[in-house]
Amino acid sequence: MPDTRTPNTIPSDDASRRRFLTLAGGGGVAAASAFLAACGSSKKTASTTAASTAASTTTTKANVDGDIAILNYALTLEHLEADFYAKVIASGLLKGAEQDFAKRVGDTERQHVEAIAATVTKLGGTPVAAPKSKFPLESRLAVLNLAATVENLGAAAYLGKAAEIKSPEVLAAALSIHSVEARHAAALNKLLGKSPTPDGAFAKAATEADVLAAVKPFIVS
Amino acid sequence: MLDQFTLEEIDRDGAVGEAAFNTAGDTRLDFLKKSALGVGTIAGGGAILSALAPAAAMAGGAPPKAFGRGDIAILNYALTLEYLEAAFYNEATTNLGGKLDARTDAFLKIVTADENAHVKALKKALGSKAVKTPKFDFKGTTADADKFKATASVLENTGVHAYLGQVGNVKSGKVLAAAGAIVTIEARHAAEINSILGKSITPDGPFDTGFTAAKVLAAVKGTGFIVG
Repeated sequence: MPDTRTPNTIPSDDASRRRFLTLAGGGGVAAASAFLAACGSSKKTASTTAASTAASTTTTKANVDGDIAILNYALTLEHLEADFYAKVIASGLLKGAEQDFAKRVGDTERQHVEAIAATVTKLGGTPVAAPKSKFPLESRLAVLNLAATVENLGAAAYLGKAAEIKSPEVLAAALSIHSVEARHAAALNKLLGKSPTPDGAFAKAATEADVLAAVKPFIVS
Repeated sequence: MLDQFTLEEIDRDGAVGEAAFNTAGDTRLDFLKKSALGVGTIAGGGAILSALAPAAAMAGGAPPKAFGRGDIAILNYALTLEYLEAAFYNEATTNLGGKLDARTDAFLKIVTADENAHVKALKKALGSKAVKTPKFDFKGTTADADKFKATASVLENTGVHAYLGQVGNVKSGKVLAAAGAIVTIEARHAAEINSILGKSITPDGPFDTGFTAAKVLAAVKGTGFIVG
């Protein structure tokens, strides 16, 4: 099959870029310095940017819109995860190392929210608002089981969208989040005495319909 | 299990075939060189964008020509890393299987099965274009529990970096889905072995990083594990 994820998909005219940077510049994603450091020389081809992509911006609007929709779907899930951990931490049901784990993971999910929302804005879209959520937080075990469910679902959700993402930049970002969700899922599974790799050697993807159905009980509005 | 795997669906003569590479002048990589890097430059402190564009994806970082071209090169590069992992765990199973603490032994069983399945799937997808397995010398790291655990952690986390580093280079959606299904597993392995070692399960923080093939291959070479 031909490549359906054509590369020229990011609206990167200087004006929109500056707008994004203005909006996102103060966001302070903690990991950024590491990425910047790893980037090495990234200055070489800046001058060709506007000319090479301006023409493609309009013709690929559908692709950009598709990516925005996928990012907003991911953003909804990340909002739910971030809300979930905030409520778990507030509930006091977890103690000690488990509470610390929830704090670290919750912080990670919040950073996913910030980064994805900033990217939606950068692409010219409107980030979806956080849904109002509720979770059945009744006991330590219920919390851990729910956390494992949410993380495994999150990992499967990203996987389910990977091949639909048009922009390589968005794709790389999505999968770099995806593998972190997988790491969380593995740790939670292990904590619950389950296999860190419940799907075996190849992770299963989940469709958007299945994922949304699974999280529906947690969304009030 | 393998029968359900999407790699089977890859059209070797189509999506991953020679014809697909004739348009290589207009690859995602070129696009990234032209545009995305520019964003990073102007940003200076474009923190979020940087976090969202792992280095290797931005910098290209495709495998060298020795692995083939386009997606075939990426699959052969992946296969080489999987050969290394599978051989390491097979040897560790022979030397240490049943002799490790229960949790590490369970980890060894899982990773041995998974990495051999990855090799099998990648070889099947590549068919006659598959690279042959290198010869390995693991220098005693498969016979000592502590060395085994430390090495496994490096291999699994490197596997995550390696797959993520190629995401922006993959042309076929099916190859991408397959790579995604594998990188998840490597990430889960990495989390478990890091946890066993008392290390962070997310050593890169909220966003896992991709490495260029050059960086990964230099690291592999540095181990001295590949001897022929």
